Amino acid sequence: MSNYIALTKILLKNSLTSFTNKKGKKKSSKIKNIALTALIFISLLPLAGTIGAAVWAAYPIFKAIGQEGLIFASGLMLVSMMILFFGIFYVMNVFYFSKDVESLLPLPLRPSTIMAAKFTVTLLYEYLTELLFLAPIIIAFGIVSKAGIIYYIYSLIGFLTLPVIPLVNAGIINMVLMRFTNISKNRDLFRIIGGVLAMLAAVLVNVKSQSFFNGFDDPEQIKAMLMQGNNSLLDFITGIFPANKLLALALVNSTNIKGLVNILIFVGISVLFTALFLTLGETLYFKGLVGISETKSKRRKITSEQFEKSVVKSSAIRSCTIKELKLLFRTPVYFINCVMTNFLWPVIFLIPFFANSENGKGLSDLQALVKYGSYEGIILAVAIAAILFASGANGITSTAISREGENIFVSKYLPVSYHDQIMAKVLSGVALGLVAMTSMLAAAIILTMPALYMIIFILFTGILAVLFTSLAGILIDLNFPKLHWDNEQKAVKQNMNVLVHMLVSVVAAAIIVLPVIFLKLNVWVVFTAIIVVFGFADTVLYGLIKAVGTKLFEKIEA
Amino acid sequence: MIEIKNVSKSYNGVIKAVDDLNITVPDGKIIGFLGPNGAGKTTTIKMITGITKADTGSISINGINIAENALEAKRQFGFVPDSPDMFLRLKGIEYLNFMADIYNVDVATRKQRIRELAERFDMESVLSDQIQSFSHGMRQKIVIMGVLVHSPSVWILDEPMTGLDPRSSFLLKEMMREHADSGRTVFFSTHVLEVAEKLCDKVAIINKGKLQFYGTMEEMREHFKTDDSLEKIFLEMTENE
Repeated sequence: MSNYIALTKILLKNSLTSFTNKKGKKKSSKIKNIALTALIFISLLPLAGTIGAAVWAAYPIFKAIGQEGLIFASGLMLVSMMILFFGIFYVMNVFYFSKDVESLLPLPLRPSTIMAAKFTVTLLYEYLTELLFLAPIIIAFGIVSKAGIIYYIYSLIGFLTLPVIPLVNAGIINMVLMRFTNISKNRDLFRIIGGVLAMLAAVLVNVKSQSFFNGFDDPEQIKAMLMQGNNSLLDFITGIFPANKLLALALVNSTNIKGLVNILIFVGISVLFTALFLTLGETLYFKGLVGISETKSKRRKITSEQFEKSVVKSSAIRSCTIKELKLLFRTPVYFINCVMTNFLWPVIFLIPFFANSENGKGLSDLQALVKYGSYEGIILAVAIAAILFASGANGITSTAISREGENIFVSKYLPVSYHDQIMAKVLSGVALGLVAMTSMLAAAIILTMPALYMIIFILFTGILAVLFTSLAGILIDLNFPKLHWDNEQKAVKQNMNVLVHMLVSVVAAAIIVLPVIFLKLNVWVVFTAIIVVFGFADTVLYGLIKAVGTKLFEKIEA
Repeated sequence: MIEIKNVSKSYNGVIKAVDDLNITVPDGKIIGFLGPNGAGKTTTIKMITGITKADTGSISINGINIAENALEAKRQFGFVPDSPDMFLRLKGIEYLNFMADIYNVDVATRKQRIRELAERFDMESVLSDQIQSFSHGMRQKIVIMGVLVHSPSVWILDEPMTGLDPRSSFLLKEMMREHADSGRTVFFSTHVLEVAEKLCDKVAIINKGKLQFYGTMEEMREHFKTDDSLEKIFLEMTENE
């Protein structure tokens, strides 16, 4: 137990310093960091507020039909799904690919002690997710239903225990994968495959839940279920997390004994899950770890053909850009987070059409919309908004400096100007942003067959939009580089810059779309406006990089 | 040639990592840079290579000031950092080609140099593998090859022997000697005093940021009026006062 506490403290300290990145920082950058954290917190408030408001509005309706438990059930399912989905990647990195694993292995610690400590740290991170998505539901429900103190005690217990089951699930999936597959010898490939599988699982769940809601088409069935009252619909919505039903029941029955029984069973099940996880870990964890740092290698003499192909001359800036792209494609965490999404956007957009029960109807509606001339302005604006979002959400330029980590010093002694090094990073972002744009555009062309001039409009304005997000992203990372991390995941996932980057592109998208909708602007006006506004913004951002960015880069030290 | 004049550097405005350092590394010589852990060796090397800025004083390489004309100064030297764990997901050959691009080496020359270096360092069979599959010593070798591929006149190496097998270590020492004998400069830090004693034309010893001694081995023995080994002199000089 004392080992567990000591280890947890160390791991926690380690991950907190890497989170705040305070090592040897000057006062001014500390202030900058605090300001950034405050900005993110404030910008997330509307989301939390919206969730709370929705609960507030929904409560009387659901209460009237005796189904108020549904409010919790859907919130709990959403949070559990998120924890499971992100947990698969998270556990993979924290338990298996984190650099600290190799220094922990020689220590006289039981596998379950290491696992328990790592599990605790992971759990603490999940509470942040819950704070945003679950806390508003709990608070709004508590206020609107005039709940007593017991409700809040149960809520707190539920809040603390909820992530356990999905995280254990994610952990067991990983342990089994790592133990019983030999692909871990090639860990990069394994991680990419694991990431793709997890993505597919998420897409599947998405499709499944959409078709579930469509399954509500049979009015007689719903009526029958509704008439039962007494939260009878809970079974439907707790889905793959049946235990969540207990928590939902506990929260709606906090005034009677049923609540106490349910919360006790829920906590009991969570404890059992943890015990199962740790027991399994005793036999599986270390066996999955052995050989984890081995990498694939051929150890074959390079052929002269290969040699001739590899040894070619390029300019320094081109060479730096290619290097960036190679690292993005070859590092699994970067590939999954920054690269793959660019190719996936069309698929993500298509799901609603294929999940729809009346196949093709949504599509023909959309085609009609595109053909009908008076919406062209809005369509162009929405297309640019989508491109802004997609190229901002990949987080390539907003983590480009962070991804260098402690090796940032290398860029200081190479004889390439800071301007060129920054621009190489921007160009790698632009390249993948254009991939996102082209894949979405290609899907849109095939599905909706827009007019040629619309395609040309989107292409021209889209390039400026991609440039905008790429330039904005690098400026964010130049200001807040996160260089101290012990696994690559921390450079791109636990990096607030990505969130800020997304925020910037969402705001830019809103600035485009809202006036077009309200002023009903004509497509030519929209086209000209985007060219002028983004042409100007891109020039300003580039000027900023030249004037301020290079100086910031010079000051960055790991 | 490297000229370090009145250079000081402190961290957080308190701890003086380097204190009024003056060293001139002449052409045609191998200079060993010695000092206990935390003496200021790596900070000095970071300032010479432009990784960090000196608070005061000036540093120039082949007469070019690193603070005023950074790019041109950086083209003068090749640098082997103390940790070779970089660009791990590039293949060996890709890394060498990248370095050749950065230093603008023409294709024919880079091909010839890569072939020669791969053969000398016995790295031919790993060039098409990613650097992350390399052992520590092999990583060290690929970084050294990345420096030699652009044939810089000044070599700056931070603990270059760490992790090298005896053959590669011997080879590197031989190459350092050749390089200096051809009239160019080698400046390297090391903890291995035997290497310094046998290989270096001059040694610079730094402790607590201050230069304790700079000169040849003979000058040192004369100075301390002793026939002791470098190890003994070093231990006495860097003893905690």
